[in-house]
Amino acid sequence: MNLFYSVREAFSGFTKARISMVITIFTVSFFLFILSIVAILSLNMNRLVTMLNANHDVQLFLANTLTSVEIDQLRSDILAMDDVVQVDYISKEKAAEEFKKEFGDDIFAVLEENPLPASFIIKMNEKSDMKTNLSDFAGELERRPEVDEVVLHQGALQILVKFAHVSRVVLYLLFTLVFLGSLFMISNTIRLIIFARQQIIATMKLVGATDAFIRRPFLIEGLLQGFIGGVITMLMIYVLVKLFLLQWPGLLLVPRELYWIVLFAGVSFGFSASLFAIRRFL
Amino acid sequence: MLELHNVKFIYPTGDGIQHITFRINPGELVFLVGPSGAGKSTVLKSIFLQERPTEGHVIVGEYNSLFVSRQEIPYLRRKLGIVFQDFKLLNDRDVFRNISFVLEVIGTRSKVIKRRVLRALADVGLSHKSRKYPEELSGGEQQRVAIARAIVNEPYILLADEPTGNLDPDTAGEIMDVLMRINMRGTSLLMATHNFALAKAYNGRIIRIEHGQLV
Ligand SMILES: Nc1ncnc2c1ncn2[C@@H]1O[C@H](COP(=O)(O)OP(=O)(O)OP(=O)(O)O)[C@@H](O)[C@H]1O
Ligand SMILES: [Mg+2]
Repeated sequence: MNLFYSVREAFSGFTKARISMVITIFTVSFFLFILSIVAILSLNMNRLVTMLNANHDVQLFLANTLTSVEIDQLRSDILAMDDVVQVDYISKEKAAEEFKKEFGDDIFAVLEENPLPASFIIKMNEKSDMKTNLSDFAGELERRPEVDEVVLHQGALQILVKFAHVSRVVLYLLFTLVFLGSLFMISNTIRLIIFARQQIIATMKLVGATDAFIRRPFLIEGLLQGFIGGVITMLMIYVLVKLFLLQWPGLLLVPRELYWIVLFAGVSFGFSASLFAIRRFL
Repeated sequence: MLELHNVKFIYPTGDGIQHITFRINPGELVFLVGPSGAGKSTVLKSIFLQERPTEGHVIVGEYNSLFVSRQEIPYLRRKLGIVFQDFKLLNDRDVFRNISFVLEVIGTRSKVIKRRVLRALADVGLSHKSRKYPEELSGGEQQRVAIARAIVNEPYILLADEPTGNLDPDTAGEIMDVLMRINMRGTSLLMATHNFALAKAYNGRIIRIEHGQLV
């Protein structure tokens, strides 16, 4: 067993096949990157959903004829209901103003009268389950004569929640595809290198080298490429997470172990891809 | 030491060798002589089991071709020094690493490797070219690298396939000198050549082969 020889040979393999080395490292990084994104999303899915949940609200449009007393009454009635955290009143004028802000048009330029109804924005607490309770809650409010219409601002939210359930399956599926694709691609690249060296391998056998001896430098080479791919991915993820947290502080929690897992996955990935490739020849 | 018993090997094309029987004793000098295409290289290949005999058997030291497993073949080959007709140098590394390779294979310590490779290079008179790549060498120099690689492991038997084949007479003479020196030190030498005159010029046993059979 001459490890020094194998390592030296592996390094010289690096310089002999630069392009395939770059392809391999790139593919390993790509695979590991997807792996990391999947892992980070899975780990943070609940967190992201709760964060978004906290913001969800219900908009309640008021009938046009209400007096300010009636409005106050309704407001305190709603505040007394379960899970309601806050109720903000948006007057007709404020609605017109927001309309202008959002669409850039003054509504009075088109219409003489303000057609926008006054409304309440009702903030619910996190516990309110949006699938059942919220629609019950809306139905109950809608039966009151003062209320014109109740809108649940949860379209996007619902998609996200569904996504949280479906996404894991999709992500794992995607992950498997990327895994198989990368393994195939790397194996093929390495196989090409080995193929180009077939003559040399045949000669090595003729002068007494065992298969294991010939194989070892290739395995070490694969291992090193996996390692480099792992380090590159670690850096990419680190930078990306940093940038993300600058924009949305506290929205992601990335455990330090993830980085070690990425490195380990890279190394074992490179190693097994080489093993896979060389099995055909030796 | 080295024995062939009724060895037969036929290529898919129908050419090949059969009824090959001879033995080589320790330190002996033997020429395998025959015209081109007679089967000299095939005989040598059947000895180091590049082509496995389909009939008969070959004995190399403690290995018998009938019982050698695929995994054992490398170990059988380590008993032999082989100079291939087409040299078969590793063109991805320099002269030194070509020769050291056979020592790396058996796990020799690097100190020892260095000493023995330099020794072998001196034996063939190529000390000054140890950092050259095979493609930077002349045919005769490549031939000598091949010989140095074959002897560096101090084999019992040296198999040399047409080692002077495509060299001018002077260079051929130098190569023969190198081989004779090694033989004098006690290494058996089996040399394949089509040059009967060359074989007769040396004090060795001559085995003749024609159309794949001994004559
Ligand atoms: N790999 C092969 N496949 C098929 N036929 C082969 C193969 N190698 C050699 N032969 C044939 O087997 C016969 C013996 O070949 P071999 O190489 O042993 O001859 P040789 O005596 O070494 O000739 P030379 O002096 O030209 O090297 C020849 O007819 C040759 O054409
Ligand atoms: Mg020949």
